[in-house]
Amino acid sequence: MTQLAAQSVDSAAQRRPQVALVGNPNTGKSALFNRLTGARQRVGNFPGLTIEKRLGTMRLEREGERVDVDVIDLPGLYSLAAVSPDERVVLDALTGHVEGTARPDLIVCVVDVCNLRRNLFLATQIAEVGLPMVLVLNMWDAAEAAHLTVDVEALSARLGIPVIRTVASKGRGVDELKAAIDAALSGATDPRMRQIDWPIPVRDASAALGEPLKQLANRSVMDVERRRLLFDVESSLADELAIDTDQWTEPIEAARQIIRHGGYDPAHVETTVRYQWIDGVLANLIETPETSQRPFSESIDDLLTHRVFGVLIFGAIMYVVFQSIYTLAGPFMDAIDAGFGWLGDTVGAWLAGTPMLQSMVVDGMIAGVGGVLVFLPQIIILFLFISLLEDAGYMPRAAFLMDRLFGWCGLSGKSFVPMLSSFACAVPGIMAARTVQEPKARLTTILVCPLMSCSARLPVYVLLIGAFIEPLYGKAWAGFALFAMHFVGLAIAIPVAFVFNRLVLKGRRTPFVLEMPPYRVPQWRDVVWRVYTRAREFVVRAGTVIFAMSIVIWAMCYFPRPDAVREQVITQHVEQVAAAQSISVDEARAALEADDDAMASVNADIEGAYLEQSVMGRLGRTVQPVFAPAGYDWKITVGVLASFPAREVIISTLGILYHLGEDTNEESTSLVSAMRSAKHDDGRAVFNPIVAVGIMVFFALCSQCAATLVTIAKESNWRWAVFSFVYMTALAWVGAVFVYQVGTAIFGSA
Amino acid sequence: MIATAEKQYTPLRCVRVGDEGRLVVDGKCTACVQRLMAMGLTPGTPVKVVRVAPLGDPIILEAPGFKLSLRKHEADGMFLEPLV
Repeated sequence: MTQLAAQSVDSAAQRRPQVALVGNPNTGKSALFNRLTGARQRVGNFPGLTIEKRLGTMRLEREGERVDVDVIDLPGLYSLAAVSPDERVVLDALTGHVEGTARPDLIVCVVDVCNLRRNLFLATQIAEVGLPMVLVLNMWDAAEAAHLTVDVEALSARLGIPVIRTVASKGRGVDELKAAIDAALSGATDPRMRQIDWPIPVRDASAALGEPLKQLANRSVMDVERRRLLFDVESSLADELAIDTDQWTEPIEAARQIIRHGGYDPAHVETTVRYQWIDGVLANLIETPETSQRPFSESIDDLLTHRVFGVLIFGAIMYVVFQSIYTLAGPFMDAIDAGFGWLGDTVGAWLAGTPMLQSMVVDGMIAGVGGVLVFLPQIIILFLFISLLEDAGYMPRAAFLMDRLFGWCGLSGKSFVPMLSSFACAVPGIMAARTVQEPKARLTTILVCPLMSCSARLPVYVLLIGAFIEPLYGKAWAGFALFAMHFVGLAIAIPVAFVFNRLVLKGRRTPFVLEMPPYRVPQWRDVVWRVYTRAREFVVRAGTVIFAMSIVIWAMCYFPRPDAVREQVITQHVEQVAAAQSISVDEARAALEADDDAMASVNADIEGAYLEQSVMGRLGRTVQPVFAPAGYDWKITVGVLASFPAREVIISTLGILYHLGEDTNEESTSLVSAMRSAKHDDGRAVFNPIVAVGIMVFFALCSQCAATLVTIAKESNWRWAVFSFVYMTALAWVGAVFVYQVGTAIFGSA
Repeated sequence: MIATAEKQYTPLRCVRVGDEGRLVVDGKCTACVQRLMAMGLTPGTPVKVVRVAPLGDPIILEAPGFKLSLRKHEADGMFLEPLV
């Protein structure tokens, strides 16, 4: 007895009660989620899908004891009908068929009280899943403002479940909701929503499907799922049940025939019956005042969706957003850079006695953390704007204006913001692709965002244009080259998106249907909260991997590190000096040790020699033949490889390789002159304007950015990150080889 | 304009700003039309075309209590029946 009791306590502790939030988009569901769970949230992805999974923990007080409840905020949707696996996730989650997601014990269905009739459509579908349910009428304040009244008690009686009024953005009604949730979870109540009495032909048709499903499907099929197969002209559920289309056509047609014989159209019967039922439930419960006054929202809408002014305002807003991420973030990023530089110097000085530890901490760890945090200002500023624009209701309008421009190649009107942001940095850009609801368009957006020329490419352009374009062709061409480099990614992204959408991304395209919600004043609490969670998510989820990668690349450039290399360089130098000045080797060595400048130059030579024989240096020599068609020597190849974590690393790597020390930047004249005098083994100059343009094109198209790849992986999955790396690297290589080969054929090898 | 039995229906593909009518769903029903119906654009709903995007597509439809933006070709199978 006691043992049994102990066991049940045990299993209760293991399995917390699960509550799922379900509702249409724009019902304030996420604001309610924030109110219920507070800071106890985590965000992930559903396995294999580009769909955000938001989990949180809600604390309930029951008889003075704390009860923790898991809350999942399921993606907003209008109907359980699903043409793609991404859309099916809510149905699957509610029927317990999502890997790693427990079937909920209770559903909280959130509706916008001002759209009660249309929002109840989903509620009637959800009710058929067979779980206890609580209905939330959110945005009650908007109803009050519009003098709309709903008889909540009568509604609750007619539906047979608790109906709670809330204003999630202000926290009103949240305690009442928690009490209703607690009552249902504790077993005090068992709220089951009254279900629709389907017409007899529908019931017969559903029954007729039973036998064929038993034979064809790979698992048992619930009633609610059976109805999806019956009603939906395209259903992704058939794929999930592994039903063979050829075998399926006959029984499904036979079942639909039953519906037709009963006088209903199988494709229309669901909407007809559900809306009739809803109209019956709502009869005499709602009072809407007749208003002849045109709402203020309408006048704003006229302006913001206007074919001329709307586009101009959109352009102006995007300009402000872009300028802000580009310029406003600059000082913060510089400060972070400088801060970590200072930290590196300070810590480096402490660790001077142990060079390997010093290098690992300073060049690996501190540089790695700095490399993560430097993205934060841009992410914060971008998401501040996005949250404001989304909460205000502007995003659907912008998508409406831009849809045609982007839609034809498989992107969406909402792809504009992520793509524009990617000109500053692809990391916040890819994160911003969450605003694109259509799963296929979202993935396409994620895949082309890194092609936009981000600010990390700028140092590479500045170095090469400054060294090889400006001195030879003047400022005008230098400016043009800079513009062309920013344009090349965009020009390539459009056809790439088109090809991906047609050939690579499988599955049906989700239609672009957007509700135009009324404009609202954004609540600072929700805005700040969203910005904070995004920033935290980036640091925790992407940051750890980027950090690890920085350490790995550092180790590859550092090891092996035999002392013999150092000795050899010094001996060589000393012998040269001794021979040139006709002094003894010992005298030359003493002179070197006394001369700081000479020592610094020798140290730079030593660093160069170390890198040359490190794992990375050897890898560069091995891989070099691959880049030979682009005119690269092994040093450029090492630069390309070592800049895997971040493009701009190529500059300091080249600095080390040309024995200038590692503090080289893009304005360094010594690097420019070292590059100009670099020769291949056969005496030809390594660099010329064609090679320089080829390198710039390579860096414009390549995916040398660990942060971007990690972000892609976190926003979709690792397969797509690997795919991005492969396709961008291939594109970059083809681009560089094309420039070099065609350029050399036309202009000669200069 | 296409002429069915006795009335003139305008396909949503061909509407202009200001067009008004009752919604008619006809022909082979697509997943997209089903979705639009689920969102409240049921047959018989009175709708008005309030906006056409700068490049001619998508359009914004206004129905009692809500507004939807949709791509013209994705609404194939939906028509406007002029109000009499």
